[in-house]
Amino acid sequence: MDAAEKHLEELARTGYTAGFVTDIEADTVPPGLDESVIRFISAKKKEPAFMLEWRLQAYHKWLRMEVPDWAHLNYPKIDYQAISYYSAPKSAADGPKSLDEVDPELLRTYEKLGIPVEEQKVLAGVAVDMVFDSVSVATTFRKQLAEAGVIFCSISEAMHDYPELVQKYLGTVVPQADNYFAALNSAVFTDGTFVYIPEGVRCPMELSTYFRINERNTGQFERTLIIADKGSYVSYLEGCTAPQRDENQLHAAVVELVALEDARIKYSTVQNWYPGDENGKGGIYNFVTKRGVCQGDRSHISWTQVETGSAITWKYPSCILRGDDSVGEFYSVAVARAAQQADTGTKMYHLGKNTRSTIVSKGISADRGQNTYRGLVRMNRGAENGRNHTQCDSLLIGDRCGAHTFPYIEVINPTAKVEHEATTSRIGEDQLFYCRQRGLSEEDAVSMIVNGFCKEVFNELPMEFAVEARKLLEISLEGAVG
Amino acid sequence: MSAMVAGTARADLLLQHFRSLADTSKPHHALALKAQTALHALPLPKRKQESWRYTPLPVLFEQAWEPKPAATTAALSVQQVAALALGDTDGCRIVLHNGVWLPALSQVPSGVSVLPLAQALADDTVVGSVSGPGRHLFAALNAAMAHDGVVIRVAAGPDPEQKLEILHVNSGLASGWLVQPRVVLVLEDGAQLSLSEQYLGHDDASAGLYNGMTEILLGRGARLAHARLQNEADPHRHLNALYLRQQADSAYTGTTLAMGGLWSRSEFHVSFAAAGAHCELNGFYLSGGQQSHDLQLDIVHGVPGCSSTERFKGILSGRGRAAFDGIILVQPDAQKTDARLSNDNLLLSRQAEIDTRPQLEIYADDVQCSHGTTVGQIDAEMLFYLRSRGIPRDQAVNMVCKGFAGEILQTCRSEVLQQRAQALLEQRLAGVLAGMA
Amino acid sequence: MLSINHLHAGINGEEILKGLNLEIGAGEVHAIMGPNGAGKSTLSKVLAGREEYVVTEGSVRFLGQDLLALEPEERAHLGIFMAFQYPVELPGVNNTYFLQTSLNAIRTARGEEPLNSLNFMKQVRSKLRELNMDESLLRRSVNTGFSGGEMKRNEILQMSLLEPKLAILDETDSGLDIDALRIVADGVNALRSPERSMLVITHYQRLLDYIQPDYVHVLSNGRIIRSGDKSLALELEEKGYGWIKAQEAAA
Repeated sequence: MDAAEKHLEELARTGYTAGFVTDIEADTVPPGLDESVIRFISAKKKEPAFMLEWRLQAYHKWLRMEVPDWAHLNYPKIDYQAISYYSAPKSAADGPKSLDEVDPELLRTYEKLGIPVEEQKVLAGVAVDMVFDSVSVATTFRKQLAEAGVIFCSISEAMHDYPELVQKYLGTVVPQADNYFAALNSAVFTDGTFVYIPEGVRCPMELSTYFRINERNTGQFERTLIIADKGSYVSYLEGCTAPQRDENQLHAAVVELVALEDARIKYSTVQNWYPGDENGKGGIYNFVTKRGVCQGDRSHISWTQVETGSAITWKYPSCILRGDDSVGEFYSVAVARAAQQADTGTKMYHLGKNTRSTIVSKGISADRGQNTYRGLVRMNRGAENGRNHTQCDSLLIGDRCGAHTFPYIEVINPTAKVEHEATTSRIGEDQLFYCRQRGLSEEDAVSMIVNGFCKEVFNELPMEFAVEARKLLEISLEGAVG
Repeated sequence: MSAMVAGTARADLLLQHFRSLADTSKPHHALALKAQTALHALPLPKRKQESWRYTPLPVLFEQAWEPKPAATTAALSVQQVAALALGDTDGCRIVLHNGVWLPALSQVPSGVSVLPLAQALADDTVVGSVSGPGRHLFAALNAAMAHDGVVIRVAAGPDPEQKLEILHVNSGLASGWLVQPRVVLVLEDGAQLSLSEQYLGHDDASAGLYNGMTEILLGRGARLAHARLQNEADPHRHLNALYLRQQADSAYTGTTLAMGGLWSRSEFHVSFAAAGAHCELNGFYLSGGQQSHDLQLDIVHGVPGCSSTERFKGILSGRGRAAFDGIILVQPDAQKTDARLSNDNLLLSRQAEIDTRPQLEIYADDVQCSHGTTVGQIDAEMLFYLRSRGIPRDQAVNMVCKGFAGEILQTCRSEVLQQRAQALLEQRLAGVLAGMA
Repeated sequence: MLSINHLHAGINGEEILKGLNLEIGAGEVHAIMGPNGAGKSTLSKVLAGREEYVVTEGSVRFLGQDLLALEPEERAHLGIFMAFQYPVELPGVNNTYFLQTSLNAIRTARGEEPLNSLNFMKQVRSKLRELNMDESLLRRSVNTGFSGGEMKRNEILQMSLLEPKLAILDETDSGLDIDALRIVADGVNALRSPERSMLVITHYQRLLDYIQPDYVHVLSNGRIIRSGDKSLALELEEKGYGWIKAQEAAA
């Protein structure tokens, strides 16, 4: 049976769930969240029965949970009943008709980033025909991927086409009730990405949501599941450097990674959601749960992130190092300026023998930005010869910003070795003067110093992403000094 | 579930117990009144509170601690005091037995005045001026029941080598005891003092909680060298909060050695009132057997131009546990702050546990702040190097441990105290190594 | 004195020494040279008893005893001393205390009386004078914050105090400038005696200008492929290791 047939059969089987009453012809649901909304979403997406069951379970857990308050973040209380949890993908009619209607400030940034006009339209939500480079490129790539046996599709498709894989792994890394936002996501997620790399396959290209740009409007509750089977390798890129606008203020994505024996997953993110105005008004609240499990021996998961956007960032890409000799890595650059607040870091749970982890976190604070590194390293009883090295550096630009470092280190195995270092510095007058005396402008000098500060992290990004990230950082910090 | 309910019920009972203890202590002064109000708003410490996250609480909550009458037979003798005292202070010492000041066994150097706390509370606003009514239940309990202890004032004098020791001996009380003294030390502008404190259990066999409070105010240009050895008896729980407030150009150099007791928690709350002050905190903890030591640092740089160095090390053996939680907070405008914190831990056994949390919270840009933490066992390279020089393994382990601890021990201004701690460490390490063989 | 027979050894499952044979007689100075990765350091570590290195075949006898059966400290007691390529820092461990403990451990093993602090200090001071070293070295923590030269001199000081029967110098010349090298070499030369053998491991011929070996061996790929006298070292210096490897391949 091919995928299409399977899809049809699934449709036939789950089209109408008993007792289902909501009108599934509607394109949106009114604001608010209850069981019927979840049934509506599930039906709208024509999901298999197990998914509805799973979502409802998550919903009931969510009802009993509390919003976490430990983060170093300050934002008004979110009214979860004021949010609409489903709206059909936007039709062309909703967006701006042309670039003339788009915020010139945004266009200026696109130009600086060197984004082609056609792509600018897509990013800004301008209606475009599907005759768009990325799409045809994407088609070519898909063919290549299929030849390698790699599954790369939306998670909705995966539910129909590969229900056994989804059912086997969904929620195994980030359980439904892991935290408040993950539970909400589990109940209401509308779409996301599914990747499966078969045993021994090295994914022939970097997988990127960027190539699926036409599918990107997956909304505020995105769900990603990546499974790397034994001995496989995949590099996944999430987000793009162009600032993305979204009317949905709350984002609560969940990403789950599973690496089996000898598999390696490299997950890179550039997050540049709208940070809001000078006072953070209108900016995105980004509450993300990302976690990977190094299930098999010698598996390897590496998170690299460049976080420059969002008004609020709450995000701790983590690794559970279960397999012996498995490796977890976290490389992060986080920028907080204007009124931005970022509380981000990682958790490394060392369970298996000879597990190793590396954490490199670079926080940059400017204006009134508040940047917090929060990270846990735990060496469990069985983490024989576990190793962790953590380096957290903060760079302060201006005297009204904040840089905070909150590591948690728990060790119950004497053979484990943990080293943590943190430093705080600012761009020194003498550094600036030196550069300027050699003829650099102050902006160039700052950008050079900042780039030097972030180098270890940029080195981990795939080449073209790194170039973009550098440029992005430059633009993000424009005007921060002086 | 039922265990949880039982646990909650027990926690409620304990909370009620401590609140009613405070209510019945008939306060006559503002501090106690404020603390009582605070006490009624404060919960029993629990793991969910960040500053108690890694503290093993069951040991602290094992009994409903309460003040017990002292048996007259348990009184300290002159000979006992002489044996326990360091004796390197020209006889100048203050003895607190179960929190109660014993003037007959004490001798105060010239230029130093000592008042019983109860008396000072009546007309001196200095008591509680740094600590406030208390941030957690036990701190508030100490303040609400404030009665025992002393207020010491040191004036600037011609003798820069002024020395004093305080002996805290806890012994001879019925099991379940609660002792809550407060020592307030004021160094006037320009005053200098070298102070040693010992918290001793004196082989006492009854379980109890020492819930002490230390408030130190350093005047302009004052200098205090402060060495403390906590060597309570095996069944003792020891909780001490040290509040330090420094005026301009003052210098504090302190070394705290947490070695005794079943459970201990040492808090350090440091704040600066004006520029040019320097604070150096050194600490060493040794947890073996079933022991746990908890070190809490709360260093607030609220004004520009002050510096602080915090250096803590620990050795854990047996089922020993330790928690280190140290925050350096640099407030807005506290420019030119220089603050460095380090915490290093050696694990000698499979059952030991260390939880460490160095923190930086920084709101000013022209600052030099850093922290570093390490956890590990003895470096194999080091052992091999020593063994290749003919030194047997056990002795090599011993040497590395002593060297590791020595970097902190040697910061004690009192050599006698340092030697005592050294001997104690030696004895404990010998026990550990015998157990490892 | 030392007899290495068909020695196979390695680390982490990788075989590095592949059948090494070497005889060192009393009072002889042997130099082992070889390119990087030849197994020079492995040999010294196996002889000193580093646990991570596993011997899979062969034997090492020292003064009639099975050396490989002994703990590192027992080997030291027998008179084996290794000057480390990278001496280890021991923070907080006082150098004097360390030297005294070490010397007395070895004296006790030899059946001699341990030295009291007074006699020990006398001895150490005289050694310092002999080696032209500064006494301040004694007050510091072992190797902690030492410069490369200071570390190596501290090694030589230990060697001179412990009076080993076999001294292994593991790339003692690495990282030293010419002045430091001369001081170290002078120290070593002062310790030469008919009862004391030496095994000098080095990558460069330079050190052998100062410490004249009786024998020179070339180690390559885990085996000694050439042995000769001092002239072999000069030849190597001139022609490089490639020459000898090529000869080996041709043979």
